[in-house]
Amino acid sequence: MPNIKLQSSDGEIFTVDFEIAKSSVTIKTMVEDLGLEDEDEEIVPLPNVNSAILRKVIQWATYHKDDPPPPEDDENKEKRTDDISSWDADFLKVDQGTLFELILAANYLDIKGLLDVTCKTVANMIKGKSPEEIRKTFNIKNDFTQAEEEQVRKENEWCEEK
Amino acid sequence: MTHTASGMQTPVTCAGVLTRLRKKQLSSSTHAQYEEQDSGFCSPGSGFLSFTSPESTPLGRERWGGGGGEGDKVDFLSKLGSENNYLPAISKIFSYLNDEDLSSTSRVCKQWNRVLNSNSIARNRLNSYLNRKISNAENELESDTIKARGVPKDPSSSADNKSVRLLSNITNVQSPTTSNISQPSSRQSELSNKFNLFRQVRKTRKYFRCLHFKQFDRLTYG
Repeated sequence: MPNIKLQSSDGEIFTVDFEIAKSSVTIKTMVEDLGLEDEDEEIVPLPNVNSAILRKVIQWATYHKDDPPPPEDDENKEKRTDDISSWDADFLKVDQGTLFELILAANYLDIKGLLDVTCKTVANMIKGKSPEEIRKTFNIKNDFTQAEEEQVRKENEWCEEK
Repeated sequence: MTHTASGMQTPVTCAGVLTRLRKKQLSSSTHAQYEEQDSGFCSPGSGFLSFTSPESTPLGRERWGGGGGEGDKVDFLSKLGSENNYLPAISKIFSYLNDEDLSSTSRVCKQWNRVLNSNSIARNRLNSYLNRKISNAENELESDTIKARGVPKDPSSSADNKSVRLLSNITNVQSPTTSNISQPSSRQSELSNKFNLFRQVRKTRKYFRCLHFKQFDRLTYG
């Protein structure tokens, strides 16, 4: 099976099975549009992904190479987040910085499965938490003024009273 | 370590890569640490801890400036929301949250509120959720008031008059001349407190909508 060479932002070159690299729509389109398939020496530059992240992305894509294509999104209804496979859960036990870079990479490379599972992981960090707990989770400063905060509190109180 | 060394000797065909390679040399120690974690990833028992250890943070901090002494925390929504390119990721995150989570999200900080309100699907979901909450509470308050007065609900009255009627109901309940009060006075004051709160909330909602739209406009038109 033919291989393809991917170059990370910091110059490292990864040789990847084309079938695996094709899980990225961006790479697939680039290769098809530019007709790179025949020329072995051609390198696909990925200026937005550093080598550490690209290595993880390739690790993910290699594990998931035989997966069926993920279903289309229906953005109007709430989706499940408790269906992350145990391999993916382990794979995503990383610090928030790495998780964030993985989202950026999945978004840029257009790898739907990876974007789904990374965004699910972020959603799970938000789910079921109060605003204050969310702030703690992501180290966010509450910048609402006291008046705004009070308004929000009242609204919230009313809603929770039922 | 061997990998880092071989990585730098990788044959390179593109011209601009030489400068990148120099950068890489500078950060090679970081890189090596990451390597070690990567290899420990599959071994049982070492995975999680080694991955969240401080050595792995420079990776994220390098580009996203999380170096406020707080280690590896990243303000995902603010950062994703600052560039249009990441709208798919933001929509996706919102789509995994339920209505109550969206409500919490909107109250975290101004930037999150802004990001949520610039996403039309999430904004509509949140607004209809809050409206539902308010109208549920309104209905309940109304039926409570009617119960307290012992008067059957008038089905012909329109929803627009509801607040006016509610107010007059409560005034009536409080008036000492009303003869058919079935509850003690503590119940009445509870109701009128509840109603006052309700009116405040209505004002709040208007105020907050303005806030949303102001921010939304600013975001859209610069």
